Amino acid sequence: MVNGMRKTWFFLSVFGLITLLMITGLPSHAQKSPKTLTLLYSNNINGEIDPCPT
Amino acid sequence: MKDLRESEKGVFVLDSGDLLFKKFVNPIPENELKGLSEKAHLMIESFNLMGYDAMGIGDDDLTMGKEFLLEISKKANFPFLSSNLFDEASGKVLFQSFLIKEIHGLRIGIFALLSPDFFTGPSDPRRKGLTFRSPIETAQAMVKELKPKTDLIILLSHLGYGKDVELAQTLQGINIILGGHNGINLVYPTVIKNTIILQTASRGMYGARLDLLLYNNEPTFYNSTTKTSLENHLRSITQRLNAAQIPEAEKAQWRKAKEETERTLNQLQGKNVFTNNIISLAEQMKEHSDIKTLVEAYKAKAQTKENPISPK
Repeated sequence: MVNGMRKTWFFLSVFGLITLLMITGLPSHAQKSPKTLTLLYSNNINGEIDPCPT
Repeated sequence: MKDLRESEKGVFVLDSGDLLFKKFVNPIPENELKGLSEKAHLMIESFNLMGYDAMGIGDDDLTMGKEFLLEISKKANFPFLSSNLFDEASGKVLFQSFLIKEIHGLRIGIFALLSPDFFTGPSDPRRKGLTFRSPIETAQAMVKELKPKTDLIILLSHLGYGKDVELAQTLQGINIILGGHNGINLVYPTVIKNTIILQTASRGMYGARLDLLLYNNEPTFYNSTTKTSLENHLRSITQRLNAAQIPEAEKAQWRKAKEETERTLNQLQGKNVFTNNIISLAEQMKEHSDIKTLVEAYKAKAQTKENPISPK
């Protein structure tokens, strides 16, 4: 009898947790994490091999 | 660059032209041809070592002509791009007209344009065997082609700053214009109708870095300095409000200013943001040992040619 109640509570808890996750979705920080991109760019180097020409 | 490549961030390294030679002088002295060719090869080898992803063509890259540029492009580990430059004989595009790369799930389309206005006329030896298509019409066609396939479109522009502005005003869809030819340092990039226009000073004095944080798929970006400036403004207002002896009427004005600043700051939440940094290469970049070896070998060779040791 006690074991049966425990099983019922266990299944109810798991069901409740899954329902809660379905309603609220995954943790919000996972969605808000932005994509990042870094562009390193140059132009008009004009064959210069010394980084700071005088 | 190496550290960035090894980090979790998506990194893309691009050049928008006038890489290989100094400003074109017509005619090129015969005795300089070999040295120019060697220097151009050194530039390509260095760019290979730095891991460049693509390069647009500038007018000065054609200093030694079409055939030389085609030949040297084969030595590069990255594509030469030009969308409006065509081979006169075959009518085919001279180089790859666009590139699509995916970084961290972000599909990036890159194309390149060169202005025919930078050549002195049909007799300019640099444009021998070449024809140009209209940069504006080519840009329209490229955006139409790339838009459905990409999340972000970058133009490697060798049109000049004025034309870059005009293009951003007239054509929607290009997110970033990496400009060239003028060699102006755009520390605070111009943003026109959702297009960010960038450019750095000439002759290798500066490199630059643009960091993008994309929170959504909208094509709009704001400059992170805008947020910093608003935050500083908000701090300053709060200090004024906390000051002891301020008449109530003035306090009301500051409260209103505070509310407006907070509202503007809230509007930036969740929007895509960019940060641009112009980097002084001499002061902030470490020497790459392999490139340093190449440069020193080139300099030693050039020195020997200038001052040959006379035989005893």
